[in-house]
Amino acid sequence: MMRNSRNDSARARLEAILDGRVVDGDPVAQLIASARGPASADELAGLDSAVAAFGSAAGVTAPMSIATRRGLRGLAKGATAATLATKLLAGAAAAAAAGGIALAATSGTHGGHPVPVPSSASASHPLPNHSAHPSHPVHPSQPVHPSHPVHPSHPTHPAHPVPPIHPTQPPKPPGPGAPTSPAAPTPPTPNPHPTHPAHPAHPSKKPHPTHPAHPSKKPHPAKKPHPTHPPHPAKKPHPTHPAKPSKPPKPPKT
Amino acid sequence: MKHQATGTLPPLPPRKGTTRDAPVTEPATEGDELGARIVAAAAGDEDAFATLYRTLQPRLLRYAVSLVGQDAEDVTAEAWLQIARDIRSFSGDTDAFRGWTARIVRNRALDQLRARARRPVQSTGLDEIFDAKAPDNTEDLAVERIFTDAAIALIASLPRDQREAVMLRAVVGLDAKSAGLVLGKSAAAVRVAAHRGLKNLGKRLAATPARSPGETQLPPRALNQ
Repeated sequence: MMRNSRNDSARARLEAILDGRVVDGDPVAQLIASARGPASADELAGLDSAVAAFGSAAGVTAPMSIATRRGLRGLAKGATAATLATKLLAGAAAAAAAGGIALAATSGTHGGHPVPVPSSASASHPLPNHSAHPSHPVHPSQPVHPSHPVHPSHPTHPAHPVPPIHPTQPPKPPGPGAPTSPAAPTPPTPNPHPTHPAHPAHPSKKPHPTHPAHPSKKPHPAKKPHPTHPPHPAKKPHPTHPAKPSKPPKPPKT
Repeated sequence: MKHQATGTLPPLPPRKGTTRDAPVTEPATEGDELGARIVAAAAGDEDAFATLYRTLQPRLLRYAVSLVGQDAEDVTAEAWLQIARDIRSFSGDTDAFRGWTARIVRNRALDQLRARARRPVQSTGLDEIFDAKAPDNTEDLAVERIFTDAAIALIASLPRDQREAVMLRAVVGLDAKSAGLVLGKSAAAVRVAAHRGLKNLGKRLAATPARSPGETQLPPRALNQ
């Protein structure tokens, strides 16, 4: 008990010293009082420069009144909105380009069966799909559409129409990231090319008997069926490996 | 505009309540003189800012001396530039303002220490302190300054945590909670460090032989206050 009271009195004395209350005869209190001594002139030598800095800071910030700050804030908001709109437009353009390229690829290979070109037309039309011409690349932001020619300035190359979609085949989905409206499949349109009628059969079944594939054009590798890998086994059961019988239900735990 | 240095350090405001630190909640009001100066300076009053400088700069400079030694003036100059720039966004009472300025000085001092190779504060021996003789033609103010410098040097010889705790509490005038905010410690940790620092100072002073019988180890100026 006496020990606690002694500790408390010692703490109170130290706190009094820290507070600047001089304890008579205590050298530590005298030391602290000396450390808190009066300011000298050289300690305040930087007053003018500090006040000048304060004035210059006030001069800089004074024109920044509330109205100015609001205006700058609105300007910043406008700039942010413009940046956001630009980014959105860029994203939409990229998506449209992706969709257009996907659609162009689809229409150019006709589902893995290139459009046959007769020999008379092959001279002036080396490639059936004008959009796949290496010297006339399709602009990435321009989707292929039958009513919008790919290269309208070319008089002898009318835009190759999108082949009619097989009535029993659902339309292929657009490429990933493609917007739904620009790359959506278009309804079948009459084939404007007199010598290249639209292929009526299903494009993935078999090649056209009268229009063989152009020798310089390879079919799309992704569309070519793999010789050793049959279609997805889930589609039809394996002839030699019957489907694994389903596990019997576990007996309920007792 | 001419700002005259007063040459005297305004006394520290009395602490609130007991030695136990009460939470500081009241804002700077017009009734508080220093608080009024803070409000006026935040509104752009240069005279109020000069008053704040005269009030706080000596304590901040001594605190910086205990941290960086001879680079203390550069440190406080940079700190006051930041204070002058940011005081308009300050809100709080006088204790918070003291803590804010001390934190700025400490950050600048730590930047200074990081920027150069750590240059330890010259530990002034006690013999040098008590052998310090003022020139014959100096006045009392110069004598006081000599002993003030000696006392700061002696405190600066403490370990860093004790040194900062003693300086912030005894010289800058912060309470334990505000000093803890500056140092990133709890108020109890600051209190313990300050008490240890005072005990260390007492041991060092006791180990110093008296110069002459009846001579006090520090000038009698402190006893006259």
